[in-house]
Amino acid sequence: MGKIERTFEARLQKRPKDTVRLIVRVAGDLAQAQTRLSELNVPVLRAFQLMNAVAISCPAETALALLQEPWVQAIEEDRRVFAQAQSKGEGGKGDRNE
Amino acid sequence: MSEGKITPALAEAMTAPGAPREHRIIVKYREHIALAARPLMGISRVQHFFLIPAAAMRASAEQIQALAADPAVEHIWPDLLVHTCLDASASQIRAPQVWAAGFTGRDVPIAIVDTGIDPGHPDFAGRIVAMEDFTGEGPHDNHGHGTHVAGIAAGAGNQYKGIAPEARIYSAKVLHGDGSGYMSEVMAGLEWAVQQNVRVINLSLGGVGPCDGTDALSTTCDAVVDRGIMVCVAAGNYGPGASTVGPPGCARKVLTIGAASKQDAIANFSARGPTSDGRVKPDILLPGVDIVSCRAQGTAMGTPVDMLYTRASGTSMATPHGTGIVALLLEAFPDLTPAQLKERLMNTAKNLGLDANAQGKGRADAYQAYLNTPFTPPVTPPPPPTGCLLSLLHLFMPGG
Repeated sequence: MGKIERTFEARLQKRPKDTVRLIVRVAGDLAQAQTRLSELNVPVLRAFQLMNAVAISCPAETALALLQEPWVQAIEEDRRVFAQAQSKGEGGKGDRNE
Repeated sequence: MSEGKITPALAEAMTAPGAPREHRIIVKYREHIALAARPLMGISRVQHFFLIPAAAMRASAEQIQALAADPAVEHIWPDLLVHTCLDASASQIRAPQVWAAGFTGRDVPIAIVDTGIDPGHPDFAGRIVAMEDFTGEGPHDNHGHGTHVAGIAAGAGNQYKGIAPEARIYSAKVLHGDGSGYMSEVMAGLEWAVQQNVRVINLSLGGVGPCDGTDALSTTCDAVVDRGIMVCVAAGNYGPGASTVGPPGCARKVLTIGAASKQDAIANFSARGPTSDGRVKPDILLPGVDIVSCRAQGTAMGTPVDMLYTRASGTSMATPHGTGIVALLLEAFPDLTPAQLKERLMNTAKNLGLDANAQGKGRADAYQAYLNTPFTPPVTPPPPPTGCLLSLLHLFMPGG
């Protein structure tokens, strides 16, 4: 598996100026990665110790450039998740959160 | 002829691990029997009822066996603690039987990673240990979902009681007022919960499937389990199509929970497996249709019942039933690992006869998981007095 899922990479290439939220898995020292991101003017939203990763927000073209960084293990979209309650009983559409 | 007189629930309680020396029982005699004349096998604390030929007493296992041998005795039931339960679902999964065995999740730390909790709700009084916000909206519940979920897992109301009503509650607000959030916010909430040393984390949230469990959120969930913390995750409401379980429900090590109805049918909306790498999901089902639980002040999620309670459906509602059961088990057996807890819940579930990628191993049962024996269908008739419904026998007791 590469550093990025191909359909997501294609989306980034299609709209390079769009701001995207990403989770970047880091190989090696997390603090050094944060320093490097700071040098690239990429704000780090959060850092994660459990899986050695950072959440960032940046233009799509910057995300594509990050793929060239040796410490970048993988990049994926910081996807939205939803409360899994329906507002109506079974069978009702409710807020299916799709 | 004592065969069949002792209800299975009582028989199980008599032989359960750490069974008490004495059991509270209700003995039902045949009609037109002079109760006062019946042999009591040395039992002294007896209360006779006058509307039906029955008596409540405390007896050892040996004394119960001797009573069962009395030809005048028809049935012997366990005299269970009486509670008003979370709608009907607590009794459906036989949580009251675990309470009666002495386990209520007392002091077990659980984390609700959700839309926050209403700290002013009386059903959580004195048990919310910490609240943290990862959304920028403040830790209070401005949606209602997290409060409802927390009530199912650990509410302690007089009217509606959650599954582990004495658990300690930690709340991480990771979903915004619209009920959504980013994976990274959930991951931050998970890391916080790990730092609080909770034993079980509830995630009644998810994204759209299919998925293979390698995404960042699912990977983080598995890392949490590797730290010895149980993670219960909603399968999602994207059913009934195949491969609709979304992240983090597709994580390998978590307990993924779908929704069943009160009649033990799978909810139509409950997401189905397999994962995109071919694994069976969900792992179990639990009640998730029309569940009444706590309502956050100023919110209107679900169908409000009154100022304090609302009714809602979803795998979000099924999941905290699992979290509550885990809290009960961890109080009873503190050394159980997440893998052992997951195995227990799965191996003792009631097989509903559905496809594995719909039901997992079946609808989980708190009491069966406590006993750690395969599910045995209850014998009917007659039903024993449940722990949830107010026992009519108590109403008929003199002075009762």
